Amino acid sequence: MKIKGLYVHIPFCSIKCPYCDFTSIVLNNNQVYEKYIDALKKELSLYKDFHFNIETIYFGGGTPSVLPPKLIGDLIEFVYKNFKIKENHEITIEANPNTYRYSQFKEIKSFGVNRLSIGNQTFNKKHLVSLGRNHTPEDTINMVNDAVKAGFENISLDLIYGMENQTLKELEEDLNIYTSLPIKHISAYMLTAYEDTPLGSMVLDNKYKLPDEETTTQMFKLIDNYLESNGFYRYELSNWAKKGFECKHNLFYWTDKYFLGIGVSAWSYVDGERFGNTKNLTEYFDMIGKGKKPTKFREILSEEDKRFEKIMLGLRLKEGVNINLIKNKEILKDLQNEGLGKIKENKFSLTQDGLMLINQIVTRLF
Amino acid sequence: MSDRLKYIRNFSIIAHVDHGKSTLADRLMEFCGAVEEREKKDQLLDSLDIERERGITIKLQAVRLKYKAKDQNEYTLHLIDTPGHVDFGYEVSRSLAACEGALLLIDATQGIEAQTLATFWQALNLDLEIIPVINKIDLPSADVDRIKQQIEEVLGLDSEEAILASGKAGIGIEEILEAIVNKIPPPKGNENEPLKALIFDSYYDPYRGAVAFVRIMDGQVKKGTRIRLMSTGKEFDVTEVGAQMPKMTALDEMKAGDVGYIAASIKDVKDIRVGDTITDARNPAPQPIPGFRPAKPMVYAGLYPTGSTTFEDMRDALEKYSINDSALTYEIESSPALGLGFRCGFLGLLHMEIVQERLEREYGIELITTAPNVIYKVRLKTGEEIEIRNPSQLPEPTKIDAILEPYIEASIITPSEYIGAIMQLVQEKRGVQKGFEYIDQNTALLRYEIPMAEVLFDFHDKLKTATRGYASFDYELLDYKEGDLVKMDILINGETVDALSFIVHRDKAYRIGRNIVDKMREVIPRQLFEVRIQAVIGSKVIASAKVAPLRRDVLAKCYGGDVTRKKKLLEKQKEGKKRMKQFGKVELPQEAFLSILKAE
Repeated sequence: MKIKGLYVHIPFCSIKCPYCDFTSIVLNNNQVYEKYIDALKKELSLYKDFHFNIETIYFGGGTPSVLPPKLIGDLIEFVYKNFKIKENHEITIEANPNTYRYSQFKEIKSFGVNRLSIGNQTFNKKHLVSLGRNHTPEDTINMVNDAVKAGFENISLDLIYGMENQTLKELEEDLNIYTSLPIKHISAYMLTAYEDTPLGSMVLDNKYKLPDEETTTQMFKLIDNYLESNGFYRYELSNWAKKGFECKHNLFYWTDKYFLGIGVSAWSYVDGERFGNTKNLTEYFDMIGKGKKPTKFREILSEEDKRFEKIMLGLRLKEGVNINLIKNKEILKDLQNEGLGKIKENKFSLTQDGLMLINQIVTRLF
Repeated sequence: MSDRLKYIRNFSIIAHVDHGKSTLADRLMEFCGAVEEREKKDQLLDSLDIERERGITIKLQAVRLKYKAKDQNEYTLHLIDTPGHVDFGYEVSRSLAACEGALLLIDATQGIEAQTLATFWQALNLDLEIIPVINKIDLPSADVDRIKQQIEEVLGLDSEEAILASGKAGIGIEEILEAIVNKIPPPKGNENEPLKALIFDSYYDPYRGAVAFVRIMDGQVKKGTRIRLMSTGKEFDVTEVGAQMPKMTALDEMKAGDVGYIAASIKDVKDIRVGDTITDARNPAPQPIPGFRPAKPMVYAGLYPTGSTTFEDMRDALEKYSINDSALTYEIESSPALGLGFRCGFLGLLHMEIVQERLEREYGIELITTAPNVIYKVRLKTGEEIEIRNPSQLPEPTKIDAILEPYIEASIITPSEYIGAIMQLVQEKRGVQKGFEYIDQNTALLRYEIPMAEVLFDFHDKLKTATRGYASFDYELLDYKEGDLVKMDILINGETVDALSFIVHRDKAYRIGRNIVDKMREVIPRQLFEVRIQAVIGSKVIASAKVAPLRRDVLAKCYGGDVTRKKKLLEKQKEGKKRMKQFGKVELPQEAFLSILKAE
């Protein structure tokens, strides 16, 4: 199987958000940016002998939009020149609301970027502050308008829910604004207190109180129902899109397709093997400088691992998984009777209620 | 009487746990030169670690000592050790039956305790000569006068005869040995009569096979003798006779009056039953020694493998373990809730704890125990009477005429300030007072008839708490009595969990049912499906509770870099669930199966 997705990690941000568990450093230095893009090209060259048929490129972060558009263009050009790339490919860039404006959008569009994922999180001023975001609701609205003007049709907005003291009403107000904007895709994440993040410590120390189970359950239902009735359908646990605007790149992650990740902390899945790069920028530069792949973690998947992953990832999707993957078939009927799952022909998928219990269910099915 | 018998004395030491029996025994052995200084371990008679840890003696042994008395004659003394716990009452009686006398050891700081008293009465019934010994007199809190008063009033012995001693400080040791020689009568018996040897203990030796500890009542035995065990008729050829000095030492022969061991390449320790008589197959005794009673388990419980232990692992461990524990019985049991395991029979609760602990510690077995139960007798409407060892096997109520349960007579000795607390406790346990007397100004002896089932769970602990550890307790089995008993089943989502069924008195059923259900709700985690817990009698629900299903997990993102971490997390969760037992579509943790123990 050929590598279809290319993930490019840009580990730079203008500020570090307290909840974020992605690898990033706060840095504003064009020389380092250039050096990094250069290193990415060198890293890509190390994989020349892998089999590619690239359908998607995804610039994630960090905040890729801290880079001048020209650097993004540089890398895309390098890929075009050196790798096999499919027609009608998808190129996504993550952008933060107070970065690119009309002219930058025009520029990246000219390099081939055709999908935008904007890190908005919420339109509620109070919650933007509590999430440590350095932008206003207006920044996002201006950005969306500029992007549309520059010709972007495929725009996604991130939404975070489950902040301290957030009410269902506030969430509904957010959803109202989201659905009124000219966007095609929404990724909604429940605020998660990851270990080793400032938010994680605050929650542990009882300095930040996440809403209770019942509230967040209601929130998920509200989002799902609200978006469904406004033309966005849920194709994955955290992702809703208008028909035809699903993120092709992310779908590769959930459907067992091969992808290569480059840059600091990027993960790849190629030929039944998952491998991840060093999370340390200095070490990354160092290894690339020595002409070595910056791989730090490696996991060769057994057949059981593959089966487990297929269930774990497949159940996130609307279409579910093939029943033959499931060992404990007896429980499927129970799940269906309880309204947690659906059996249709040879597929098992989760309902809205079931999706919220996906971890529990996965451990019971395997 | 032959000259040989004149110089033999057979005796036991009667004592409460911790009253210093093992230390005193060590001193006696040392005095007689049976122990080299360098061989000394703390307490020689207790050979198992677990005994030493708990300060109790489980296995009996018999030591042969040579004592040169003040009369210048050398005597052969056989010290027969007795187990010190209520569960082993029958073994104690057989050890006493092998003796002509006993030292009654009383802790000068504690006074007479229930267990000592029970054993004392057994000894008296067997016409043993009793020598009271007041031990630990060197301790500052020793109250010799009080103990002397107890000896007079409770035991009816002459307190002037009591020897003041301290095993630890080595006080009174020679005086004790002289009293053994002068007061305890020599054994009777005729070495020319057919062989009659009383078995009072057994153990498994990897070289000798199952070994019997015996007192020769009549006749003689030596290597090559063809012996017959009179209760089963099984025959073996003796490979070795000998005595513990204290090491196992082969002898040419043993004759009437002697105490020692017989090995005969016996493979199964269960062939050697305590209380049975060994005779000469070629010249058998017409009658066995009276008083034989096959060891009978009093308490049953299910033992099931869990964690990484398989059924086969557990079977192997039980096989090996029971080689040295003839009292343990086990048979395969299949429980819909717990899978394949064993129904095990124990002499009592302590015995059960010991077995469980040794299987875990010495054999590395991970197991789950169901709540223990006594043996019930059920009289059916057809007139037939059956025994029930597992409450889930109780027949339909419509077929039952009556359920009978075993009663015990409990003796409790307590400082008088705790009498009120004990009376209240015993009343909760359906006890009926049968006796009340003061054994000195501050100490009372209470006697109760209590259903045995009531003392199974937490009686010991509650007694300890109620009396701050000052009361002592002993019991004797009485008979079966009809009771207003019902079977309570625990249903999970409408289905009976067989391993949780138990038999309870109707008056207590509601309270216990409620408590169990509440306890289970606490220990069963929320999960995908609602867990409905019900306590029912027949079809009547007497208590119920629900564990609400989970509503949601952590709904985290999962992109390319999250897959490995997420997988590890779920695998860990799955691993954690291995300690749960699947029941239908829900999962029950091990604690749920022990809820009954905490229901009072």
